[in-house]
Amino acid sequence: MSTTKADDFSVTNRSIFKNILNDALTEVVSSNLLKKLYFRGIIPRYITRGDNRDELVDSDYLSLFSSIAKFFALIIRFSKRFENFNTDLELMKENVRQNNLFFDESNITLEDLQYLSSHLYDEIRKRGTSLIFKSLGEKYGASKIMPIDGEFRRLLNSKTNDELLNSKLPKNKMGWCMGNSSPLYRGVNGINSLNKTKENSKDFSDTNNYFISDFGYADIVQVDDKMALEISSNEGKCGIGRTSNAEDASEYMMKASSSMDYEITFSFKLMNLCTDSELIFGVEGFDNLKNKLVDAFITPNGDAITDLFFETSLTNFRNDVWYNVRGIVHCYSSKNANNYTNNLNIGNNLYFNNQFVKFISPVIQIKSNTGGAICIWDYKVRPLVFGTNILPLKNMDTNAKSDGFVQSYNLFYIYAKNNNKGMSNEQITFLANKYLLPYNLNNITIYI
Amino acid sequence: MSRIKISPDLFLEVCELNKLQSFMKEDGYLKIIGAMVKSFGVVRGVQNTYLKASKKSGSLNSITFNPGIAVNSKLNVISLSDSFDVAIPEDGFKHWFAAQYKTTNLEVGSVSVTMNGSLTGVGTKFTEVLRGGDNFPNKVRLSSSLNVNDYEVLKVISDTSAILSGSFAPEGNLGYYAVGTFTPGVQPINDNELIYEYDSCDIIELISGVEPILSEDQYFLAKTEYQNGVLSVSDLRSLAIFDRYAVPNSNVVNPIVSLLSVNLYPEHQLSVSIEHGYKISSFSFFPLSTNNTFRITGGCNFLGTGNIPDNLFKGWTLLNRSNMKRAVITSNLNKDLSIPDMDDSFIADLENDFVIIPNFNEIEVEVSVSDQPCPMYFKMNIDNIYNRLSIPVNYGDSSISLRYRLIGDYKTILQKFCISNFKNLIGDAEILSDSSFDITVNKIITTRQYS
Repeated sequence: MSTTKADDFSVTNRSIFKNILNDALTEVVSSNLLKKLYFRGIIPRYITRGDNRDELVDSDYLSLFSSIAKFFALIIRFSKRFENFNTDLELMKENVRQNNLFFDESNITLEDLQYLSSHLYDEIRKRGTSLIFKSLGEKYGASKIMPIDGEFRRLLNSKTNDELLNSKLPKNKMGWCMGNSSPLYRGVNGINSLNKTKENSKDFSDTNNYFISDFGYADIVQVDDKMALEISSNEGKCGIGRTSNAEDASEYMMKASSSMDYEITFSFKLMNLCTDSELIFGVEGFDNLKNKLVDAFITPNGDAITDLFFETSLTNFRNDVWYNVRGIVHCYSSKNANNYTNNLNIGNNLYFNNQFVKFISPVIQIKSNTGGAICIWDYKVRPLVFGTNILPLKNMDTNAKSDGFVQSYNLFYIYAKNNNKGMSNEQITFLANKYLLPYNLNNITIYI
Repeated sequence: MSRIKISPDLFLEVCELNKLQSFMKEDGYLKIIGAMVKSFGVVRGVQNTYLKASKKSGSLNSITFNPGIAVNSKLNVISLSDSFDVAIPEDGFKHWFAAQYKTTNLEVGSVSVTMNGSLTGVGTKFTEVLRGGDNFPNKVRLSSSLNVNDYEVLKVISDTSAILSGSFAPEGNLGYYAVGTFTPGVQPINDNELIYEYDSCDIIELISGVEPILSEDQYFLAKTEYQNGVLSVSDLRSLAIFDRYAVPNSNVVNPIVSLLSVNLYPEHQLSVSIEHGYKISSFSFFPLSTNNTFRITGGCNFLGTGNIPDNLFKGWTLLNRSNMKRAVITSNLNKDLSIPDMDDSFIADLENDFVIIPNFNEIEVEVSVSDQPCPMYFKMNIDNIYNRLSIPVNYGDSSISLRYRLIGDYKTILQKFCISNFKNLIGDAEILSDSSFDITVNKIITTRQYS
């Protein structure tokens, strides 16, 4: 239980001297000054004091000059503070604040402030660019590395593992564009900038961008004018994602928030059907430290905790057509649903079952001991909708929007979590619109 | 026309788009066309075969309805796209058939599906209603009890060939529905699925000894009954024809078409005077805010000054022959006529000549003389309520029969004159019964005076 001292509300404790008023260094300086004023040599003799340095005798003298000494000590301390203000957290905050750079006041380090203070114009130059969304250590440009979190991240106090997505909607994904977008449709229309895999093209370009288990064969091949990832196995499972808990896929995990819906989509085509061939499609969930959470997902009817969308025999699939697969992970606390099969009418979609899921890692694998093979193409992980959730939550809230705006241009969507306890969502949005985003954007920020 | 004010920054969503559709439809062309259409029912078509019932070829106890269309009062098109057969049991009752509007989500044609999802159609138009691949594929539902899911379309190859995702129990001769493409993960309510809704026809069968009373927007098509064990079909479509006055009005009777007098003129010309309207000799007019009452205070007709049956003149026309202005009588209570569209301008300052006439353009009178092989016909303007017909007759005894029909946008059937007094050849009052009277024309014997 906290208590409040009366001193907390004194005038000095509410002044700029509050941090130095009673600290040890001030006391030392004050004491030294008093000694110089008390012993002979500085103050004239006609200001009398006892012969034997008796505190009792000299109490009046000491009372007067200890106050003067304290006053001078404060002046000295305060002067020294400004002499080296870049080591003073409060002064640095004030300095950066007055230069109109944004940061989370409750969670900023002196080092960050020192960097900002010495790169004021550089930081302002980053405004209106994608650099405001980059995180510390993230690569950008040819070989540059972000020395500090981008300004929008700082404003949100966005943690490294927090979801933060942004997309300037392509023109053909807004309003009504035949084959691309529809006014009342609330899905994200396959927008690449919201994709969380490392490749935004439909074609695969580099297997190193994916965690592929060592068993079996995986390589990029051309099939039907598509550059697809062919996976085959004759010794168990092979494909994207881990085949056992012993494997470390931490570099390939994707940030996720259990407070929003995601879709994992890919197309596949049967290349070599063996009677034992099975397609495994699932998703693993991990916590902040990238430890696997065994209860990360649950079926929509709440019957089973599982991280599988389906595991199905490939014998019922054709080899002359590409199948489009969509696995949906609905957000935590979505209302239970009975009709939950995915788009292929097999298996199920999933709900987040653990709020502490911070990372996900999809699993798309073929299971065969006799050389069964499939090709995968257009593998993407995205938010499911413009908003957080399409199904009603248990409190019946839904939050999904269409992008059916007529004559609107340059829509900019942001999915963000606001950790800045000092600012409301509306304040963040206001500041972002006014200072951080280009003026020609219509910003829609979805707070997770 | 009603409209939605579309402007920059206006949010357009489901309500607004539905309203836009409604403005163009219910408040637009439907309202305009509805106001122009005279009647609702079966569309006649070029050869008048739409929705016609006939005995099914090769069957003794079935009838078949032709494909065709009808239109109801809400301008919904009652559309029967394929022939429709009905078996009629020999149960001693009359079977009445009527058409009413319904909608269907069933797409045209029939389909069969194989185990691995090959969908083959007959008469189908897959390219118009299905979409596959990664371009927002829609889903298909089959009219099947074995394959009961909604199946995503993988590929549309042609109008008659497509590939669905999923595993199937092979089936043939199925109908199919286009479910639509919805935001992934959403669970649309049932009413929002099956997005294409087509006009269709519901043929209802009523079993009754007498003509049943139909509900609004139901239209008779046919009546069947067995006569001596043989099925007979009566075509009743003419009872309700789209944009034409219906035939039932052909039985409309003008109860004041009457014979006034007959005279004989030289060269054995019989002059027959008739009237077909009600002459008003005096009146009073009471204009009110919501209606006008035209009170007959003096009339001239075989009805005389007696009471006029209520609503006898409902739908008839009040004509002032002095300025030829006319208005429709909506009802009458005895001699008080209710005429909403009438104003003071109907009444001339000096002289008025009001008559009440039926709402037709002409009257045709058929005169049959017993000793003449063919009847004679006389057509007169309906505005002239008194007419005289000149009929040549032979010497001797003859029987004259009179019938009339009214002609306007449609014709009534020939009907008899009303029973009333007329002045016969010798100037006596005689009752015209059964719309005929007898005359005797004597040969005039001239006696030459010789000097």
